[in-house]
Amino acid sequence: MIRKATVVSLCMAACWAALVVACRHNDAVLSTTPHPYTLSLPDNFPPVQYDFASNPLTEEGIALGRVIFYDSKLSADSLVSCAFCHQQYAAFGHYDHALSHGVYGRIGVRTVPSIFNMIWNKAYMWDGGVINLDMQPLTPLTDHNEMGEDLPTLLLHMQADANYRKLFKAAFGTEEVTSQRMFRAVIQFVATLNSFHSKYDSVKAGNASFTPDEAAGYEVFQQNCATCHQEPLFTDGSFRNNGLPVQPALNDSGRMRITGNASDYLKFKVPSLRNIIRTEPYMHDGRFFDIFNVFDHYDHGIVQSATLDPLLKNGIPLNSAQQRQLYLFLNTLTDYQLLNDKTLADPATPQ
Amino acid sequence: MILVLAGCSKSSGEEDAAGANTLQLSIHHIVNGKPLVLNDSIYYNTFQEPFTVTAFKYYLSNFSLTTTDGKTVTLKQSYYLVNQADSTSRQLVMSGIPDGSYQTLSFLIGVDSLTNVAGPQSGALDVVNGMYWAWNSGYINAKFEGKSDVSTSTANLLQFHIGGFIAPSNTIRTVQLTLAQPQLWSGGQHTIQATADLYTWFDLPNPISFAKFAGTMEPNADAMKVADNYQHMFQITSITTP
Repeated sequence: MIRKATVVSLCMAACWAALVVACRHNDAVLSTTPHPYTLSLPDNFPPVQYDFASNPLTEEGIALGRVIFYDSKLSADSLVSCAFCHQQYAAFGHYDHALSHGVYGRIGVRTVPSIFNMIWNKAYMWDGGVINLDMQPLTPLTDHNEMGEDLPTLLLHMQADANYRKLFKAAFGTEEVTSQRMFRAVIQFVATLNSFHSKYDSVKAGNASFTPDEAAGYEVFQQNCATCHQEPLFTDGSFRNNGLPVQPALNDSGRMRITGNASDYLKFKVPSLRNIIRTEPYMHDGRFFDIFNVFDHYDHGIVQSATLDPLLKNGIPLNSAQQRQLYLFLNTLTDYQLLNDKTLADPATPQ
Repeated sequence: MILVLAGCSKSSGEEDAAGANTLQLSIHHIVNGKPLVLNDSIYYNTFQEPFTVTAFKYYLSNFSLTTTDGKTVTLKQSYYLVNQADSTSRQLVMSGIPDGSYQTLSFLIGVDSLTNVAGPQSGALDVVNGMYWAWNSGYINAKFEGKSDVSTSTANLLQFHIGGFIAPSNTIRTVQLTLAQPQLWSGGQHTIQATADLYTWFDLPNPISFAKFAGTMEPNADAMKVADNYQHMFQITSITTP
């Protein structure tokens, strides 16, 4: 089956032009063909989860997605773009904001997750409620506490905008703005937000070496953190209760809200530790503003409960020397290429 | 080149290859025998609680016909959003049906699980139709909204958004309608008139009192009960064939 699929796809590629001519005789849709874009991905990462076949990356699709990502006019009060909460310098998280901020000053109930390496994720949002990456843009665009816009209205606004019509035509062949096209374009851009150029990656590739403190911190990490924050993504993508005391004001049941299963009470997605020093505050509700507060939580703050992850039953004892070493190791996970890549920045800002 | 030719003949000559019969399924919405009229008309549920209807829509998909000798003929996949507010949406036309002697019409109320996980769709499945949950991925298979004086929710609203495609809250339901007598089809357009009765949503096997239950908007056990009720909402009233 695999072999057959390969042959068919090769033939599809080779014969595409012929097909267009033969079958689309009454349709000049593909007069300008978008240019395919190939992501270069690291060899030592697991296979991507994202189905690129359903949304092939093109230069024009990514460019459109980037414009949408940075366009605050798409929100109900014209102030909140995707990038408002997903800031490049914060590894596409929201620096220094505990709970997500939305239109008209509304505050959400969870912290903004940083969105890089999404193509390796299986489920999205802190509770895994979104299961297809291409559907993800719908949530922030329409959520009352986020961009708060009515989707049909939003699509009409985009359709009325000459620049969007031009960009949609370049990316998809016609000027028609649809939710399907918009979501796919946004995710084409998001698919380019990947982090694998940290010092840690250079060390793994044999092109750099850890300082003695970083090396000691790496050992602390491997012995205490690596089961959940599995390398090389620094998350295993699972949902776990890490023993945080419940905040009564939020009373967030976590993944149980999605599954309805009591065994998922207080479970949240394990976040990646890549760029962690740039993505404060921490935890699903942003309750810790300093990574050392996080260390303290694992050292002596764990609350026992029925759904507490068994690995955390006795906490993670970390003395101050280990905490310092761990902090220095976590710094090696900052990916300055991702944080500074101008092709990922606001296209409206002169470079 | 074989692939290219095959690809072309499929897209240009699909109907000829599949069959020359067309089925028009014409759906009439009623509430316990009375025609459904949005907004003003007052109806009564099985507990004699009054209610009005402001929205009534649902997905139908995965149509098939079963022949008298037990063979299943799958009709070309299409997703229909049947909506009381849109009369054309209540005329479902399915073409390319091969000749045969048919006994049963089957379909799903709702969107199959594969399509629920397949990413952004267009047409009837476009999320702009308001039949999709963003926070907990999945289609709303069927939606009823209205008002009842006995409802204790805000503004006496009734909001039944029934969805969920994963066990134990899989609300997709299969409907099998037996045709009164075997239908021998050998070309042309055949029309099946059917009623869909909103009364059934709140009747058996799980009678619903609006005073106690004014709706649900997530996959859960309550949604399952409503789906178990509404899977009985269709009834064929007549079949005409050329």
